Amino acid sequence: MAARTKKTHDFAKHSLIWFVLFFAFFPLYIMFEISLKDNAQFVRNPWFPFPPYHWENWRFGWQLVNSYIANSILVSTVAVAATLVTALLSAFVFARYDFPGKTALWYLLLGLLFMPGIMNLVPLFILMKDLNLLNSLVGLTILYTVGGQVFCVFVLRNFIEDIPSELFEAAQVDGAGPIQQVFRIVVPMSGSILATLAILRFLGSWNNFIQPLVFISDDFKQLIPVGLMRLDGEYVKQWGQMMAGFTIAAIPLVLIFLFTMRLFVRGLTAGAVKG
Amino acid sequence: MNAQKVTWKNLRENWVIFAMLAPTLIGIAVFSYIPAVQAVRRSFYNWDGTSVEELTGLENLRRLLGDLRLWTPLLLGAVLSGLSALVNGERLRRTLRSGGALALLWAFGALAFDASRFFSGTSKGAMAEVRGGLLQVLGLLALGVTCAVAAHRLGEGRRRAGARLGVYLFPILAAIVYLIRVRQFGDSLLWGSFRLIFILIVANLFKMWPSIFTAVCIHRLRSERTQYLYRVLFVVPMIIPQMVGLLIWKFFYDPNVGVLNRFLVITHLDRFLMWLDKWVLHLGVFVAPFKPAWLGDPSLIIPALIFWGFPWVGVIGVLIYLAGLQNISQDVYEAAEIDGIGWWGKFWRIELPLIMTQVRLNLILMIIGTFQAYGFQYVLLGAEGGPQNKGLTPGLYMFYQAFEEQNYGYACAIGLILFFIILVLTVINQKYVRVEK
Repeated sequence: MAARTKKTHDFAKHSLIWFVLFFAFFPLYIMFEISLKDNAQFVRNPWFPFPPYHWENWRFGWQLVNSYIANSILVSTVAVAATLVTALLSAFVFARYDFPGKTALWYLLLGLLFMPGIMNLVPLFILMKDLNLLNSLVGLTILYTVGGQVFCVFVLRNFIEDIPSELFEAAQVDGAGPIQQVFRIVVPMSGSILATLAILRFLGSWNNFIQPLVFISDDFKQLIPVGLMRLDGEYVKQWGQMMAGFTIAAIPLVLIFLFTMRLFVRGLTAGAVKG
Repeated sequence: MNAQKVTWKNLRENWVIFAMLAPTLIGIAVFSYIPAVQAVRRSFYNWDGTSVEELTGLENLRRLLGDLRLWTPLLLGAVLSGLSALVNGERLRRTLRSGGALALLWAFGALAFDASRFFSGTSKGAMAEVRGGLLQVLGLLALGVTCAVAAHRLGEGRRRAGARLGVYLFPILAAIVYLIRVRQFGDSLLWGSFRLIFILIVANLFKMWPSIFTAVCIHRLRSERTQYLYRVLFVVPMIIPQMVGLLIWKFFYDPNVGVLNRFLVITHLDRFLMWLDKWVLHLGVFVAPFKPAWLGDPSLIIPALIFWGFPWVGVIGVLIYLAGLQNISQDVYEAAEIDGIGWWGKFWRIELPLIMTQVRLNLILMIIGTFQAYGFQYVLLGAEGGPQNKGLTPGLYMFYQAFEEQNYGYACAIGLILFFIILVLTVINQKYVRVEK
């Protein structure tokens, strides 16, 4: 008897989970399935794919989004690399050195957690204009790099403080300066945490939407989120091509996910708890 | 942890460490702190970013809020009283509390004076217009009095603390309602946006539960491998760019080709909605032929925003709760089973209390996030928040004033108000939620 009630409960749990998963995956299914249709087919039946399949939508879709994807990959990759290098260097200093004004600087950094980005947007726009960084991918990369500092420095400082200090002292006796210590000792030990941070930051940059919207005006410099929004805003829509474009825009993240599944899941959990 | 000492004396030999810090510090100084300082400064300007630039003092805030002589003591009193509950140290607390009480006393005196002048100088016809607001004010004041009586009667304990909170809270709310609805001070678009935020937060309180239930369901599966499988499956939708998710939902809502309307027609739910509209709601939006514009009709925008993302299971939320649930030891469950506690009892008595920290964390993050949100509404409804500005959030209003109207100074003032609200919420978060971790 007891075993039977347990089984029914398990069935109820599984069905609830699958109900939720169905809705989580439904948009993806609709996106993929419409990407194979022309507008007439789509109006007739939006639910299921049926022949003829219009794979050429994907070619048009690629033409619609390829420049956006290239820009996004460029900006996100450079920003992630720059964020990790700068954050690693300053986290090392914060972890290993006591210097005058350290506490003040640390609170200055953490103070940014209290500052909602929403307040900065308008003056940041003017600042970028004055610095001639408006409508420039370089400017956007700098903003993404700065935006990741607090979180990464915070996480990395805690990590480095947990490394036994004897390691660093021994390296110092051998004549290694602080920068060598970072790259010879910290980097080899922190592979998985760096990868986790990189994934989180990459996701953040890839999804960032307001900053490219405000700071980039030329269409050929635009990043993927705003590019997709512009496609959606066109008056006469080719739904199939647009959905193919959407699907293609997801491919880079799908690739990253496939190769780093474990880190990805862990990174999202950790990022959620700390962020 | 023995860190290396760098003092003023050997600063010069250690210049490298400052070079290492420089990129981070210069970056945040230039791109975070300078704009923040500018945002405060520009709140006091009439400024269009290029030619017009004049110092107008408090004019922007006056346009946003109304008479500052009434607002200032009220807000000051509210903040000081709130702070007195948060700080440690008896003396500081007492100083803050008496300061807050003084400010509130002043505020209510000024308000009473203002009200007496307002009532004597207003015709009956004009009074009728603000009757709804007046009733709200009276209702809130009555609640305040009830709390005062209750606080007097009840013994020490949590109930009494709650009642004493009410003694502060309800009169302050009454004063705010009086200023906004009776005196109709300030920028009505701003108040409308706050009203929207309030509705969305209340809706989000209900939308938090599905994530909790889902996490508990996954947690209670006995097989570790299935648990992991589900965790991975839940992460998969995260790899779709957020913008794609947004646009697909926007497409669901499309009046002519959208999936939602088609679904309602296929399942004949459209007839139910039309019946409901005809006899109960009287909105005039669900009529034959059934093509409601979910994002284009003023009366449907807020329901559409609330229904958004059904069944409201957030991946991040589920992962956080799962992490919390994993800390529950098996013994607790076994003990519960011996006591004959059912699955519902286990949820209320074991699981929910033990992930309460995470729930509160999510709650406060949700509130802060809702206050700051505007990208979502921008994509769906445009910079004006859709027809009749129904979907206008404070952030979107700031965006609109800055980038559509070129009122940069005014936009900065809106940002400043938002900043203070979010600051208060963050302080509460740090004080009450984080500490216990």
